[in-house]
Amino acid sequence: MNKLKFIHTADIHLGSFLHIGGDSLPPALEKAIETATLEAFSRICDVAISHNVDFVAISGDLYDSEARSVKAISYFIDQCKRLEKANIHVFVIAGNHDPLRQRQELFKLPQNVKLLAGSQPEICELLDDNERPIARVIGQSYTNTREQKKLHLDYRVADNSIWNIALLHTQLEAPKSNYIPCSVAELKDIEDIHYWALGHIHQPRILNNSFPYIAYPGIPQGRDFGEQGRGGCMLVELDPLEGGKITFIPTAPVIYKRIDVYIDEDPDSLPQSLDDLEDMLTEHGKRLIEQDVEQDSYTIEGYVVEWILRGRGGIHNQLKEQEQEFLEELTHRLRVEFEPVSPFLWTDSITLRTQPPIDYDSLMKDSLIAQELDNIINKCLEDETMKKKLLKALGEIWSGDEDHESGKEYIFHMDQSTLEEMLWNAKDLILEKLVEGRE
Amino acid sequence: MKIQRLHIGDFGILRNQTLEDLHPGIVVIGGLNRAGKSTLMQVLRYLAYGFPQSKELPPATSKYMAEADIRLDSGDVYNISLSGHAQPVLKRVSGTGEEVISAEELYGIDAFTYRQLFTITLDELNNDYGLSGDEKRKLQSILLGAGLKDLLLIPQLRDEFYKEGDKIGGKRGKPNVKQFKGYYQSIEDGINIKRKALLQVEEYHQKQQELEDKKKLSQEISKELEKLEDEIVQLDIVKNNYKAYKHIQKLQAWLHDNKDKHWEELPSEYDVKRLESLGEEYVQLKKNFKQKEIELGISPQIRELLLDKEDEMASLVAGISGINERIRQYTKQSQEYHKKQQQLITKIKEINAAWDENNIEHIAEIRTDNISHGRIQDLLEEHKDLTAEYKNHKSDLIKLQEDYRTLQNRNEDIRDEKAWQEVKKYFYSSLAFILLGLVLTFINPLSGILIGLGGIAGTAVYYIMSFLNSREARALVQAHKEQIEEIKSQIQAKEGIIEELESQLNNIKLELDEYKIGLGLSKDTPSRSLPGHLLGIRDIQERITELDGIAAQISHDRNYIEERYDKYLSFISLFSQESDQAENKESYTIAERWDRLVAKLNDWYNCLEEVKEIYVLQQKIKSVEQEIVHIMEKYGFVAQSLAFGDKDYEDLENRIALFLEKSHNAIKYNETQASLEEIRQSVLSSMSTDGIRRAFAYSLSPAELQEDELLQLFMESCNQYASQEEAAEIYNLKLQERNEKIQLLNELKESQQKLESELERLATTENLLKAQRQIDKARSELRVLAGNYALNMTAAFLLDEIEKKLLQGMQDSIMDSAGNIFNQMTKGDYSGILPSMSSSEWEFQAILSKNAQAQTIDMLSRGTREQLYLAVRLSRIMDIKPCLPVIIDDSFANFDSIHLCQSIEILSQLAKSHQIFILTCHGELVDEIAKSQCEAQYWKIERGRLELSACEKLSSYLRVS
Repeated sequence: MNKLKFIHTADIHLGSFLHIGGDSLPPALEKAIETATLEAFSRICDVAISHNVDFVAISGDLYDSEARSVKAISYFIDQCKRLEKANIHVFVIAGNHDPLRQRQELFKLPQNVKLLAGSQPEICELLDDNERPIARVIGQSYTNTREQKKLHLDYRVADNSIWNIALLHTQLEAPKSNYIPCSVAELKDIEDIHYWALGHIHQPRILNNSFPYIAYPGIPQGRDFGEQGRGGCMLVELDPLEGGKITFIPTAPVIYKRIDVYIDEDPDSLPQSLDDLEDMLTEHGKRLIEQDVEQDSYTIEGYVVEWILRGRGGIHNQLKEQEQEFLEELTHRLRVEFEPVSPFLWTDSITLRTQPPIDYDSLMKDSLIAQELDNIINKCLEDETMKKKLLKALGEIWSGDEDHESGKEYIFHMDQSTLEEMLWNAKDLILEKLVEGRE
Repeated sequence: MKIQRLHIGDFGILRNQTLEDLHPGIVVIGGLNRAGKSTLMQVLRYLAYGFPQSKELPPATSKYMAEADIRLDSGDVYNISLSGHAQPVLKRVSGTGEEVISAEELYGIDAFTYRQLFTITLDELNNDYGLSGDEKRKLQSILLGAGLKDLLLIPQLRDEFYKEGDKIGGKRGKPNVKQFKGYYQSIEDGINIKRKALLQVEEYHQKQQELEDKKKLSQEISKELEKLEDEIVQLDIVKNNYKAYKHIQKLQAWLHDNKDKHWEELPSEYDVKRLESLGEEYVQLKKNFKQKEIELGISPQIRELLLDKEDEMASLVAGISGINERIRQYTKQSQEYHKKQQQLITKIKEINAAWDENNIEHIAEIRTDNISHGRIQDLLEEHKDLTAEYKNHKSDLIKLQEDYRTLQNRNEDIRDEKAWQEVKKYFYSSLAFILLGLVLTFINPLSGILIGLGGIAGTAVYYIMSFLNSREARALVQAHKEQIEEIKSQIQAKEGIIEELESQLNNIKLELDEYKIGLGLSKDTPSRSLPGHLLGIRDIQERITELDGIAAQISHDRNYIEERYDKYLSFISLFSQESDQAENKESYTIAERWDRLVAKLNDWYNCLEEVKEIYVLQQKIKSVEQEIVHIMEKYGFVAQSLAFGDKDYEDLENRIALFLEKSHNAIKYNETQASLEEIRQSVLSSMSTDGIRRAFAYSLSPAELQEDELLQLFMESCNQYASQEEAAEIYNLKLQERNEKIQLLNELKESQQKLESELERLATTENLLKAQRQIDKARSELRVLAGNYALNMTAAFLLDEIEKKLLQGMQDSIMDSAGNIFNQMTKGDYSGILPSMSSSEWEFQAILSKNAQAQTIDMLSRGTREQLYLAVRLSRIMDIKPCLPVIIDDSFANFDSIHLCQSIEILSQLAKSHQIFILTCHGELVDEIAKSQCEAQYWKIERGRLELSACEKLSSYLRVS
């Protein structure tokens, strides 16, 4: 076997927009909303070309059924033509966001692009310059938006004489998943596969760092705060002697970042006014940009930030009194502050999670409620029944459905972290009220 | 806690009523309806809390007034007094407790809880008697036994959170309600826009397809239209040229029928006309020719000869005058010659009588030029001198003279005088002949010439002979001289000077002799006359020379004239059969003959003009013929070239006629053809544009299309229509069809443009982005609300849970005791009570003993339901500390006696710890209480008045009433 080098990407959601709140966006951001996912894909192609890879594997959700556009389709074709010129093949499986049934091929695919079948696993052989096979790419596309069958069980390759790369769009580890329920163990059990190029999960993960390698490249460009951080793709190098090497290569031009800022991070200098808070957040913002500029070699066009103010302080009550006005003002100030900065830093929102300076310890001692709260919260987080019950109480606007992807735009997904966050926030609120009530 | 004393100052029907020493257990207050039982119940209900402003309460006469002494479990006694709606005032009457305490502190529970749990009417037992939701919830928690301090806050806080949540998103957190609604709507709108925008891809695909289809259709229609345009163009041509088509048909038919008249090489009009005029001219010329020929009567050969010799004849005619002049001169000279000849003869005879005219020639031959007159004189002188000397030396000389003479005689012999004479004779006769010929020439030129020629020949011979003789003689004389000289020298040598003298004399003599001989004189002629002779001969010689010159001239002229005559004669004899006029030569002089000859020549010469005329005519005919033939041959009419006079020419006129007829036919044919061509050209010119050619050409390339093919296509097209009208009609139909198609095409183009701009629009993400931005904006704001909603709801939920959990702890026991009570109350029909949540409300369920089946409240009979609630309340009453007074206002109305009995039993148990006021109008109840053997105090109430009574008394009072 020869060495094999390829790009593993997935969940590109090409053409989908960045979800950003607020008006009067800076031009760079205004543009990035529309172009960031396209740009990320273009960067993936740049990486593929510069590393002279053998092929690019796209493990589903190339497009986004919620953002299907002629532009995206045409952009993909154009980029693939670039790859074609560099003699790089592109293997694609359809995912739940771009199932075959919803696909609309407006333009003829370039010859280097192969969209794998949906009826059964399809195997494509990759040939070297001497027309000798060097790798097989196996995969099966989603036909519909859901796929509850264990498609991977039918991934069978002839032998392991050449590299076998499997493309699978799965949610993994969710037994009743609508997106190909499977487990790492199952994948490992399937013979002769050298690399499992997974897709669907938007965070990059390497689930098995030896043969068979199993990895999620994550989304190349996050589009909301659920997809924070630097998105990118995996550069995979397989060597029969030295084994494999998976390198995450960031591609996202825009980075979503939720930043916790503790107002009491310096107990000696608690913020007393809005100005103090503004300075505090500005400092954090600058630090973020500087830090990333030092760290990343690729071009970050900007950040979309959600600030979460935490900690205890006297200012809490002041803020709470006019929460909305305060947040609006601070948001505005931060936007103005960072407007001339490049890369841009856009304050998407500020969430107030500060706490009043309450003597919680004594409260915890003599209040049955306070004592019981932690238990209940933990139960809510751990106990599925309890969690469901809570989610039900949160009303229809919140959905705790694991299959949050079927959600509507006016429904919010209560993921674990949000839930946790909210529970602790609720605890704070109760205690605050309890104290108030007692008084 | 027991009420020891109760005084009601002013409360409804009750005024100034005091119940002293109230039993700490069961206090039965019996009274009829409207006696004031419920009023009393109200007083007890609000005793610790103050009278609320409520219409439910009976009015006071002036102001609510009530007071009571209450003994706490601690033993302290407090007086509680109520005035109006004011809060009750509690003052310690006895004991060690605080002097003044608040009513709530006294009872430890709020008014609502107290009322719900401790003041039991049928209303309370029928859980649904008009409580608000909050009150119900509160009641539930009360019934469940919540009692802790924080726990009491829970509902409030929870309500607060719920309220806050509810304010944001309603109870169920539906996205389309309350504060969510605006954003929801905005999102929905965004979704709708997005949905449409998402359809853009399908729409794009569809439009793309549609555009393709339309393009295809456009192409098809364009092709059809093109075909249609061609048809229209064809039809336009057909209808406009239909007459021409008919005409062409007609002309073609005629041409077909008369194709024999076609002449490939049709003569030009000029040629035909020329031939016509040539024909006429030809006929006329031939006529003239024949006439002239007859008139002249000269054979064609002679004519030809004449013409042939015309120049010669002209030259001859021109020469006539010259010759005439020569003849005149000749005649004149001849006469002069004869005259001079006679004069010469006379002269000759004068010199030498022996001479006659025959000696003329001889005389002429004398070389007088070699003889000098002076020499002769000198010689004669010398001779005389020498003779004298000689005589001196004669003896010597005689001998020598003899030898000399001998030798000189020999010399004479050598000269053949006879032969020479014969030659001379011949010369003279020849001369005579010449002269004779000359003369004869005038009579008969031919004979004259012949004679002359004969004379000339003879003279020639004479000259030759003479020449030969003189040479020979001289040579011989020379030889003799040398011999003489030799003799002389021998004499001289022998005799010397005498010989010399003699020689000299002899030489002189010889010389003189030579002169004599030279002068044709005999030696005898005295030498003295020799100079005279010499001069005379010289004169004669001059005359002879002159005469010879004349004679030569005459002869020359004669020869010339004869020659001319012969030439003229031989020329004329070419034309006429007349023989030579040799015989006439004799009879006519040359001049006469010449004149005759000239006359003939002039006749011929005169004929020549006419001959020339005929010739010219002939040439003209020939030329005309040639031209005719040329013209006809040019058109292949005459197969071969004909010579003039050929008999075929007799046919020429016919041929011309035939040619002309054929030409005229051909011209007509050609004219027809031309008019056909003209029509064709007119049709073709109307079809000259590329467009029209293309329309007819169909698949052929218009450039390759020949005119014939084009016309053929035109004819075929025309042939499809019976008439011009039909073609016009179809033309109009096609025009209409074309307009329809153009309109359709335009519509298609328009819709294509629309589709293209539509595709352009659909390829943009503007709508999608707009939708997404709208959604995102609304969603981001909605998210804050949803967060707040969730926070409140989570807080409420947590409180709920906490409450439940805390309640649960107690619930188990509460429910146990309530279950037991219920079991007892129903005498074992039901085994217990289960709390359950139904529609977020607490509910109770009764568990049937026989099958442990749970029955909800709705399933229970009224009595059982009231028993259940009573059991729950009693259970809760038992739990709440301090033990507060319990008031039961005729709550057993629906209980049958068994259950009543059971309930009393339970109450009697409760009365051990609690003071129980039982208000009733039923004597049976009093009896049952009595039966239960529990301690009880009996009061009778009647019209607002209370008085202590006894069991039976009261019972009977109530029964009787």
